[in-house]
Amino acid sequence: MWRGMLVALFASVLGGCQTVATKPVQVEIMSASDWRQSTSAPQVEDALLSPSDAASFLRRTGFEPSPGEVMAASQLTRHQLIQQTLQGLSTRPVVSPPDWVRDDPRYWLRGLMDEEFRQAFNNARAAEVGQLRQWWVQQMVQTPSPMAERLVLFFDNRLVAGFSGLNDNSHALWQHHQLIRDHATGDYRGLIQGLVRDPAVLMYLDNDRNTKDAPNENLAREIMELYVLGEGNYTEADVKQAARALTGYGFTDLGGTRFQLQGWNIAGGSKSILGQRGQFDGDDLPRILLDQRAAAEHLVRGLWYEFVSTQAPEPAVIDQWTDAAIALDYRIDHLLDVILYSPEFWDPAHLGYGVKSPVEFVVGAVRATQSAHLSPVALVSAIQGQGQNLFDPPDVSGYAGGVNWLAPEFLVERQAFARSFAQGWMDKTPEQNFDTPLYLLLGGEAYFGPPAYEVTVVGEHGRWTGSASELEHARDTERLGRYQDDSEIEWARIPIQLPSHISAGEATALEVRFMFDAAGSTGDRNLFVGGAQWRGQSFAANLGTQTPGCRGNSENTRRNPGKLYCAGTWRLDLQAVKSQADQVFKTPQPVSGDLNTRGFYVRWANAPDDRYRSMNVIFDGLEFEGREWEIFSFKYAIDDRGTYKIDFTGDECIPDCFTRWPAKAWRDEVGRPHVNVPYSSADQWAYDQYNGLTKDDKRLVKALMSAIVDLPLTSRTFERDPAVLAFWTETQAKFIEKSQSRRWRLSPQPKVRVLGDARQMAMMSMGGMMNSMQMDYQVPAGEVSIQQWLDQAEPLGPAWQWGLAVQADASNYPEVLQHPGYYLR
Amino acid sequence: MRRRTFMHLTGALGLGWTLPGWAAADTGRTLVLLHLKGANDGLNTLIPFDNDDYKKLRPKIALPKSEAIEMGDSAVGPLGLHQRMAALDASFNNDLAVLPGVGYPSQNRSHFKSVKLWATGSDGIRANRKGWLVDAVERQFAAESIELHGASLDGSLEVFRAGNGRYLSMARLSQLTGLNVSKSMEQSNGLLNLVQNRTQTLSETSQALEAKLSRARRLPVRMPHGELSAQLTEVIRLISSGARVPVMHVTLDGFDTHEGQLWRHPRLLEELSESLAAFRQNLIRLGHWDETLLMTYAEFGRRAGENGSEGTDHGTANTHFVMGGKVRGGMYGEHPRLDRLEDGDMVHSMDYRAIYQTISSHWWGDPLAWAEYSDPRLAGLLRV
Repeated sequence: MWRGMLVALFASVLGGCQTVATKPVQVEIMSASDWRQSTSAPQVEDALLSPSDAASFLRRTGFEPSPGEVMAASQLTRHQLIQQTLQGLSTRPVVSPPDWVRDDPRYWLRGLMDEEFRQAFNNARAAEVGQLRQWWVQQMVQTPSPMAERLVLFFDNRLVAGFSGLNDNSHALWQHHQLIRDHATGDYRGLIQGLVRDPAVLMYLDNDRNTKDAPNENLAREIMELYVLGEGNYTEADVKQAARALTGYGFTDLGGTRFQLQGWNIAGGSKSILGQRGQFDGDDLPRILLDQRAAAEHLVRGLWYEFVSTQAPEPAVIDQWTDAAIALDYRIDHLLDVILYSPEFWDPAHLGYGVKSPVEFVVGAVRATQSAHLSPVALVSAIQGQGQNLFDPPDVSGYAGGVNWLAPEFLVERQAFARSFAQGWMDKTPEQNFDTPLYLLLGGEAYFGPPAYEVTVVGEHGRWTGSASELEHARDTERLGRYQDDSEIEWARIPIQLPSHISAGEATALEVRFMFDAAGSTGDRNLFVGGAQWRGQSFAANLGTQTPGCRGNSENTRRNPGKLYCAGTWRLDLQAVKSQADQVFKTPQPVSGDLNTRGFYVRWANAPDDRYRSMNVIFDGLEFEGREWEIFSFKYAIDDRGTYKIDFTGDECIPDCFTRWPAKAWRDEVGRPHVNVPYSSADQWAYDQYNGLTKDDKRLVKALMSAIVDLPLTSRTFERDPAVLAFWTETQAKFIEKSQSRRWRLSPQPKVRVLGDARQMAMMSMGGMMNSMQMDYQVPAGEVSIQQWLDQAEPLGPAWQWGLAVQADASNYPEVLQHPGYYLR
Repeated sequence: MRRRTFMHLTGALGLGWTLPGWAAADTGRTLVLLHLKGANDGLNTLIPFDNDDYKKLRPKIALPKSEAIEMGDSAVGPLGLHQRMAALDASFNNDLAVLPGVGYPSQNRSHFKSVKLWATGSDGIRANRKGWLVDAVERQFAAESIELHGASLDGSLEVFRAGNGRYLSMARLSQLTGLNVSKSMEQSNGLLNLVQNRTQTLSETSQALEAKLSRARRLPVRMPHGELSAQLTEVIRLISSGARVPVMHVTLDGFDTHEGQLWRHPRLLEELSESLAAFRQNLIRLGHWDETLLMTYAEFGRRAGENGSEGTDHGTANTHFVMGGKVRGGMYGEHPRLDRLEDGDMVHSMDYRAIYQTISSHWWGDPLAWAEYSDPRLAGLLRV
């Protein structure tokens, strides 16, 4: 009794030590077939598959199958189908991703530029995410490995880093998606390991702000609660310690958004996490978590609900699978093998006890009918309407899924989609293709009807205005409420049919008129113009103007000319914009011997009362004496003794700032070299640093010391605090004076030469994403006519037998498609 | 074949509404629950602007006196509501009650877990299975006497999930029009049953609501823009149509201010206040304000001290609001001390279930519910 109390007391005092120390047990890594042979757990008998069995397998592991897929699968046995599915697992995109994923729009520019630029920049990023949703839906429609896409969906909803928490960084989102895509069918360890260095995760869960002095526990908590362990399998003390281990795991936008270990934020020292103690850092955390049996169980439970049933599993099954996950060292494909061979997977009691997510429902209908009568943008809108916004679940826990997809308001939309999809399939007429030089990127909101618009082309043949059109895919705000965020807007690239004399001629201006505005307390009708494309050249909406715009809202109208919230016209003066573009893109020639750059900016400057006063500056691209850098960043600083100097840090240039860092350069706690060169009265230490540089690097340093004369003090950092601007204006003059010293002068003196207007160039090129929206949309094995489809389905027997997860009376496939049983798998 | 339990599916949008009713006569009252999703920062909402500990705990985000509308004195010095809540000035000391220090023992800091604890009246030590609302409302109202037991206007059934009565979630009322009802038939599949029952309830309800909504009156006061306002608009329409829905749920999202709080938070408070002010005005003009009671809730409070990102992390006790024609305005309970933090957190001074007790007892006339949490300090909260 007394002893028990003492133990309890200790446990409560020691907190984290309650957890039984599970020292990593060395287990031999097995393959799935070894495991299946070594275990006493039963596996499913091999047997021939009926069309209904085959369809059920395809539906549960992938998407709703087409008759052709069912026919092919029903030629196999259970074991053969399992093997074929697993061997074919591939997340490699069959639809090539949009071009922009390979660009770096230079996110760091946002911190320097004005509000108008940032708005245009962020709008472009949000539109890219809309495009990514359409890309993913097409990928799901076309993939030969549906199970692989289901796995990507599964992990995407489990390791959530949603776009609305990413500060409009579409590239971080893409990287996150790639991390999942690269590991979803194999290396779960690698996937979890990758999370702690994934910029999107670090941003989404605020770890870029987790420092030794001010811990932020968000990532530490969610990686345990939601990503890896599950609630209840760790203590508050574990969270605190894990947060310390994660300090310094941040990212940078320089040279593309990427992971950055920020040594200055790291909390050193020993940490005790889940019974293990050591000098852990963030890279140790995934291993510590995966050493927990709870981690394997959390994964296995997730896979149960995803691929087997919404009904709770027997504890014994979860136990077995957890053993398997550990023995198979968390290799997903091997674990799936164990799951698919289990009798539980094939137990008829589970058939029809899964709920298709909206994306499964919509993609499944397209794949099953092999009908492309709805465009990708319409598919995405339908998915959103049914409650699922790809790449942006409502919070870090992801969509609850299962029966939650059958909430009344989603049910209503699902029913409406099934009805209109079936109708559209039956009525479909071949789409007419026509050639046109003009495409518009449009999105919108409907309220008592979609927004109507008319297009005008002004050109050498005068003024031509087409007839009014309606934007079919506009979000129905009357039923669904308005878009909550710009990134939810779905953009469609719409070809505009022109009479031949107009399309043959040149245009000088384009206009889109939003005709009838409507609004009420529960919704709003709006038209959004994302941009226009004329003869293959794209122009973002921000290059146009809006008239008249909404009253009292001129600010928004100016910043977002394409957002027509009130009836009005968006106009693009093609002639002016093109000549402006010629001007902007007519790059001035670099001058040999000068510091040639796209821009020279202050990134930040600190306050006059700091001990180490510095101004961080950056060259957006730099060429000097034949050497080139993508980024060159450094500081002008005054140290605590009042010495004026120029200060270089190892990781602030791409490629490296110097040909060779001097041996005497001091290295900080993360091993980055630093070089300080004082403008005057060098002490020996600093002098040694300078002397250790190569001759070329010395010339570079001299050029940069006097470059401060060409530095504009216009950055946003100064807007916040006029005192800082006043201080640095005064200080800049002193730096200039000191740089005149004979010692630092080069002859001739290099100038900073800004080639072109980076701001204007960026603004002009933001319509570029339209170019990559010309993705060809297909269905797998090609689109088929109704008659071809019926011919293929005929040998499979009545549609309700193989087309539904439940027994039901439906006499043909359009009825099957609209049956509530079609919601299930 | 093993038989599996299907309890979790029979929940919301219930399969039967034959409940033993001691149901009292319907008073026509409506409770509106407002979820400040993400967890509002109480310390920068009801601001102890003169308190030195407050300034020390929040060197960057503490708000000065000039940002506050003074509300009165307390153990932590004078308190003031954020000045961006000025739209509610007609309610101060009138029909808006401010309750600082609301919380529960052994705080769970997970958004998802803690909001479930609030929904069931549980705490970090003891978990209940039944929802506090569904329990009360199903006992109180026989299904025949009302259109719905509860409606959620934010498209989430969360608070009603454990219920067996008639509940509905929707983004907009107009979503219900044009619904196809497949005839209910006996099915062995529980999910299919659920779908069919839901569809049937939806269609019955939508017909009943449609008939009543056609009589809804025009809103006398223009509602501001914003999602909360749109949801509250639907609440007003339902109330003024005469449709009986005793509980409604709305949400304002965005309060999880881990960073950049100084610019995020005031905008949220402004949207909240302007929406509530217009909501109140409309219901007063329509003559329903006395039968309406609104209460805010959130997952938890936020840490007393700021984090390194000019934001606040998940904490414990929080300030909440109760508003309505029958509410006696003013401050109830004590603000937690800032010099006696536990592990950096404020210690709650009022159990949130005391509010449940007050509502159950005084709003619905069910004195037994939550009786153990009865708090004499709330005795005068409602004038009923």
